[in-house]
Amino acid sequence: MRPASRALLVPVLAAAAAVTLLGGCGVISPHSQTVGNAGSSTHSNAPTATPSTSLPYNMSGLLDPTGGKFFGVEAQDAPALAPVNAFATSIGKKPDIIGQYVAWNTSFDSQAVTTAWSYGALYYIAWEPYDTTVQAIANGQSDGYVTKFADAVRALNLPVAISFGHEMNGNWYPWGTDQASASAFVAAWRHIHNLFVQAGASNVIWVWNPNIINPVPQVQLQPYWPGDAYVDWVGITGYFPTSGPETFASLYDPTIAEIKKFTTKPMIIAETSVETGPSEIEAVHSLVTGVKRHPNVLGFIWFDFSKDGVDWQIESRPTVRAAMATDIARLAVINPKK
Amino acid sequence: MTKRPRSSPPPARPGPARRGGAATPYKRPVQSPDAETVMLAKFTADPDVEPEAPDADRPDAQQLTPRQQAAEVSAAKRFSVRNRREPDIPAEDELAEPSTRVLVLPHAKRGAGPELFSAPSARRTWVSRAVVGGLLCVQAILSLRLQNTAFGDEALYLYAGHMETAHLLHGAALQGTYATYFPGIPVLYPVLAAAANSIGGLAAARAVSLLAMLITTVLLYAMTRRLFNERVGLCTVALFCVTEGTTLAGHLATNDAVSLCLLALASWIVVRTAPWRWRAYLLAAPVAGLAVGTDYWALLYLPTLALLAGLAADPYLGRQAITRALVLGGMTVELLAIGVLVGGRTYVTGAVATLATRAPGSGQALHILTEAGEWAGLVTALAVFGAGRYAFEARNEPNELVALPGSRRRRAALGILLAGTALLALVDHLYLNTDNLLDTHICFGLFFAAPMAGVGLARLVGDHFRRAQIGIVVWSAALVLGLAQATQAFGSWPNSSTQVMELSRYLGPGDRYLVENDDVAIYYLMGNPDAQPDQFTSTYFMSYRNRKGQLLTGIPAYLAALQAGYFHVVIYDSSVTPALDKSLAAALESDPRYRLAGAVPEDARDFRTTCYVWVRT
Repeated sequence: MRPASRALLVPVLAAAAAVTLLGGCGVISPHSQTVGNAGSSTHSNAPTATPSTSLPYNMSGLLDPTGGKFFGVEAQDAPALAPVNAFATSIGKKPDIIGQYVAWNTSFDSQAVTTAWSYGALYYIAWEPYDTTVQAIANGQSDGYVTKFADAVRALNLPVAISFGHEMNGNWYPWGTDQASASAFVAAWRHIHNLFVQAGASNVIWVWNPNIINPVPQVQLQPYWPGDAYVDWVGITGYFPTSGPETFASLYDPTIAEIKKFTTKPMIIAETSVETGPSEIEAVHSLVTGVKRHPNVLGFIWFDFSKDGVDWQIESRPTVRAAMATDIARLAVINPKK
Repeated sequence: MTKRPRSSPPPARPGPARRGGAATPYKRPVQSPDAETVMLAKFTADPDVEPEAPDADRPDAQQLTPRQQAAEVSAAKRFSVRNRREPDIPAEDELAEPSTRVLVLPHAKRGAGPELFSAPSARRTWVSRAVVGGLLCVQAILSLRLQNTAFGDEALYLYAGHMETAHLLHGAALQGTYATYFPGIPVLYPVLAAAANSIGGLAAARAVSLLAMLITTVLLYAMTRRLFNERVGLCTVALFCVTEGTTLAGHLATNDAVSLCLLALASWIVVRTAPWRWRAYLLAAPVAGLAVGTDYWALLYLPTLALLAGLAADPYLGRQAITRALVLGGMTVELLAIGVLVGGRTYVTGAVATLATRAPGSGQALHILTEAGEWAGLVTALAVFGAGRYAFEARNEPNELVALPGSRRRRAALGILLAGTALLALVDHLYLNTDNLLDTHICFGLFFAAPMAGVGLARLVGDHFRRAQIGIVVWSAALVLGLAQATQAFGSWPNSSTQVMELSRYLGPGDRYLVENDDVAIYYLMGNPDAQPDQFTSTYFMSYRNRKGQLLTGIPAYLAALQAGYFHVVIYDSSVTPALDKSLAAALESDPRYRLAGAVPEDARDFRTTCYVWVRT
């Protein structure tokens, strides 16, 4: 090589080496990583701050809350807040649970959860496995959908209550007693639960929600029980019909007694309302009083729909609305965000 | 300091006038009083080898008068140190025109004949030091750019150091038998690192390692320039300071850096004192012993150190140099034996666990070889090349200032010793069947091989920087490799910050925690009274006595403990014990006493894992 070209080559290569060094420092540099503030560590090595939003939502305060009761609503056109606000205005108290029925294969609605949470309410999903079977779910045929749903729940990192296959002990739903066995239901439940665990979606309150046993006394609840490891709350569906029974005890106590034989998990009246009739005011009073008196009952969710020719909505029923407003005013309601 | 006359050409590279055949050889500058540097030039140290006669074909030789040539041969014979006579310093009048090939003598002989002996010029010395300073900056930058939370071993050393300190100062009970499995004496490095940690946290503890590695690099340069010359020293340091092991060890708060620094100091002592008659080289023995105490891995390199003492002294002492190797080796072993007698046999247990306890399984050999090749292949190849070239030719260019090279046999032995030492860690890791910390252990061997790699790089560059571009390409390759590999290695464990924060939410007095790789959590939660080391169990090992009184170990022990509700918090991330974690997950999913409290994503550089946190309700 001629001296002149060599003289050029040396600085060029030196510059290349410098660029490599600088480029490497920038390009190959790992992500900025810091250690989060680890509780009460007092040593000088105490880790520095990391955004706490990266931590999973701490559910311990919601699983068995004390100091109040849940008062929720499943309103027509929810999760839009307009009907919820109308409901709240009519009785003078904001609900702390907003429920919605979600059909199988419907995507997780993060916005609805966020809206409810901003409102000050826990979002409650009644997950209905239409267009499939619990056996198919147990066999993993919906794993993709469930995992995607779970990932979205985990990513949102806000508490959500999920009730899969509610009223499974009745025969009026496809996942009910006529079309699915108890073992298949339990297998599906556990399978879904494990997929959520694997996805890391710990921010779910799992609500196992049978119907009251009064109309289906022949169906045992225990075979449908997935196990304490898979359930956080026991939900109970039961309405106060015109024909009676009219009291909390007569409506719910038989079911509560049966459930207490196999679990001590806290309960919630997951779906209820009062049909128009001569004892509707007493029914409202009994409902609220019963919830207030039962330490193991976390609260109730009002079904505020007009459905199948029956108007359950409270806003259009002045007497029921007035009774509810009076009773609910005396009920300490939980703020799920605290 | 006596200034070199402006008119004198640089000593290492004869000026153009001389190369062009000037009538009078230039006069060597007077040695500066504090020059403690590279030594003699072309004297052959072996009595069996005749001093070189002036080469008649050499242009400059043709300029020498017969009297000058006779004086050169005479001087060479007199300085053949194997004669074990105090060299007769020629009288001034015998060397009216001193040879250009007679350079500096070591400190003990300085002042005897300034015209005969010469140091590198002050400019050359300071330029070399400036280059070394620049390379140290590069080394520091490469290490400091690495960012991650504490590695498991770092966390273990640091919290153990705090425990040992509390034990030493206040008699607090130790929560672990660290001496039985630590790769060094627990009251040495861990206590030092814990002290730094108390001052400035993890960054300060890592700064101790960086300082140790920078000192190691300086000592490597000082040693190499005494074994060869500045140019080789610079090439050596340039290669060493960018290797993955150097970069990594300089930013890990583990005992490797400090131990290597001590080993480097011992090596420098034996090289620095090689020409000295008094037994100053024995100062290396306690230093080497301390290096072994700091990290038992240094034990592997004691034979290299002893042989280096012998080979470094060989040009000055001749066959008596072998006694240096034997005495130094023997004294170091004696010191270690005293250490064991004083400290107890548990240290032997720890050393055996570190150096001689095989990991279960097989089939790691290819993986270990591949990794070692990636981390040390380039430097080792250069070292082998340099050793070969050095054995055959002591100089890179005519009249190059080099230390006394000795006979070809001595040069070959030095090359084999230094280059071969690079393989020691690899051989032991092949025996241990694990690649755990292989890169930092390889760094020990690279320290010794680097001088030969420096020779190799200098030879690639050639005389008068004839092929500088090749040297730059090779160094750039070493830099890029080291940069990328160190970045990858430092990002190979996930960031633990979120896991630690998540765990900190569920601590309670007297609670027990099962945490995969629990050392990191213990370290970061050290100040919390509800997170003391004895509250933690790792997924590495557990023994548990069930209700029937059976003593269980392994997975059955963990499952039995879970069944009994022994743990309040269980954390796993499949990073260390995936088989156990799978069993734990299955058990926890169906256990009503435990609820998934959270699944925390953990990001490493090249992967993301999920850390599952279960809490007893």
